[in-house]
Formats: sequence, structure tokens, C-alpha cells
Amino acid sequence: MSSTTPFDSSALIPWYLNGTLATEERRAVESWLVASGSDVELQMWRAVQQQVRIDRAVEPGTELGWRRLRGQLGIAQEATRPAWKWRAALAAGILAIASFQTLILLRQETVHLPLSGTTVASPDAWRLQVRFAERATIRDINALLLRIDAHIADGPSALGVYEISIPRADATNVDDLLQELRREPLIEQVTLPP
Amino acid sequence: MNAPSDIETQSRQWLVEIAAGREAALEQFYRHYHGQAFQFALRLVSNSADAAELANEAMLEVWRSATRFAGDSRVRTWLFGIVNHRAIDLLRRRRRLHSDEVDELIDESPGCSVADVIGGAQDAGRVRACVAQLPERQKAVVHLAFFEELSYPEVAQVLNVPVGTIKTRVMHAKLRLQQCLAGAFADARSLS
Repeated sequence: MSSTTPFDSSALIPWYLNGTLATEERRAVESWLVASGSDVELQMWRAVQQQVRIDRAVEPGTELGWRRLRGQLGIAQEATRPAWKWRAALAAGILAIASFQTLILLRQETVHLPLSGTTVASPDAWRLQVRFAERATIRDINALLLRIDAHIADGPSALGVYEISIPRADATNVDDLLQELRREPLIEQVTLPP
Repeated sequence: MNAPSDIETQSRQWLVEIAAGREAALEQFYRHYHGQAFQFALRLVSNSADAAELANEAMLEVWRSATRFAGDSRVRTWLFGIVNHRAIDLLRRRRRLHSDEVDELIDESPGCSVADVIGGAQDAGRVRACVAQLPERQKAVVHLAFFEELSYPEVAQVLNVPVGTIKTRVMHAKLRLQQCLAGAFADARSLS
């Protein structure tokens, strides 16, 4: 655009470098760079571009993330369900409440973080020993456990090792599960119990 | 307008299928875009646990509202817009939208030595540290421009602000980066 100001030209350098400017804008930036007689901004942004391009943070495991999301889809579908179905859903829900309350009571016994003692191992869940990264806060750990559908079954030990429990239905192959958990940025170490 | 790329065509097809309730299409969409959504979220909240949660929420939102994709932007731009919206909600809940991120003012006062800025920019570790200290809003612009290679109108669309605001954020970021790079270089020079 011919009305590009020096402010615009300076502000558009990142897009001059990533190659997405229109021809006229690109020319305006080039003219401004020549007229300003200094390429310090260009050099600085180029250094930033090179750094940002390679600055890929470790991503959480896709498999566990997908399984969690899939588990939530049912809830999303309920929320968008057509109005004519809500009565049937309500009736089914009322019938489910009593058993759900029982489940909550049972679950409450195992969801808390035991500082000592152990909970009973379930044959339906993998038990894994985990050490979390030092920087991980309680909130981080809770968010992670929620995301991977896990809960703390025991610990921490004197060495800061927890035992976590993950339903086998979420992961049929424990080696794959271990590999995926090792990619989690907040997990420093994860192994099967001896 | 350029012809849509193969992945853009495929992504639009996934959205059509997701809108029809096909979970398999969401799985493919998730596997393709989850990493990008996470990387962007991380620049907005600077915390991997929150970023993972935001990426997950965005995918859930895609499932719920695929029918709302109007087709006037790239799918990736639309998805990043959802991530940004969710991040703003999260930061508001935590009251972390600070006044120091107001876009209108630019402090032009501190002059930096050109040689120090260029000297600082030669050190990759220093550049990385200086980018990391940018406020989240500026970091998001830098990430979208250089990591995702979006155009500036697309960045404005993702962040739901006028194009002028994006330019202002770049100028803020430029000054902060210059000060940081020059300061770090001058410190290192005085120590040696």
C-alpha cells in the first residue's frame, strides 16, 4: 500500500521476514529499510525468527489426550442433545443417581493423596511409580492427573515418588503407556513398581 | 485468494464430518492440530498444564461448534481463535490481564546502542531468554508470525483485535527485545 508509514514499515518486518506481505507492502518495507540506512531491526527480528522457529515445547502425549477428549465427547453430546430427548435423559439420570452416589463414596476413598499407607491395588488399573518435575505445583499435578485419567494411589515416598493408578481400559499396552507418560513435561521419571 | 492447500481442504472436510457427529473425523483433526493448539496456548499462558487444558478445551469446542465454521478463514486460524478466546477466559478468571499489557502506549524513551542490540542478537540463548520475557500478548504475536507463519491480518483475526493493535504490539515487542538484548550484551561485555 503506497500510504505505508515508517511506523507501519517497522511494524511489518516480522511479516516481511515470513513472506506473507502483499507485493506493495513488501516493497514499502524494503524502501524504508534502505532509507533508514540501518538494518538493526531486520537483524534483530531475523534472530528472533530463527529462535522462535525451533522453540518447540515438549507436547503432552497425544494418545492419552485423545482418550480423555473422547471420554468428554459424551458430555458434549448431552449438552447439544435435541430438546425432545431431555425428558428421557432426565429419567435415566434419576435412576442412575443412587448408584452414582455409591460410586462417589467408593471413589472418594481412593482419590485423595495418601501421605502414608497404601490403597488396595485394583486389577483393572495399571500402577506406576512416578516422580514429578520439581517445578510442578499441586495444581499442575492435579491438572495432569485429570487429563490422563489417573489418580494417586500411594505416596509420596521419602524420595518424592508417587504411585499412580490408570484404568487399563485407557491403555491396553503398558509399554506404550510408559513411553507416552515419559513425554509429559511434568513427569521426570515413570516406571513399573518393582 | 490462493487455492486452499491439501491440508486446508482436508481440514474443512474433517469439520463437515465433525459437524455431522463423526468421532473418527475429530480424532484425525485432533491428531493433526493438537500439537499446534498446545504450542500456541503455551505462549498465551506460559504454563504447560494450563496450555494442555486449553488445547483440550479448544478441541471440545471444535466438536461442539464445527457447524459455526464459516469458511472465511483458514481452519488453523479459526482453531487458534478458539484457543485465544479460551485463554482470555482463563486469564480473566485468574485476573492476570494486567494493565502493563495495554496496547496504546509505546515508551520510545530508552535508547539502545545499535552495536549492543546486534551483539545481543548473535547469542541464540540470549535471544530465547529475551523472547521468553515478553508479555503473553506480544509473545503470541511473535509466535503466530514466526512459528505458524500466519499473515498479520490472520494474526489479528486469531487474537480478535484490529490490525493496528497487532502493529502496536510488534512495536512494543521490538522495544522490549532491543532493551533486553542490548542490556544483556552490555552486562556480558562489562563482565569480560
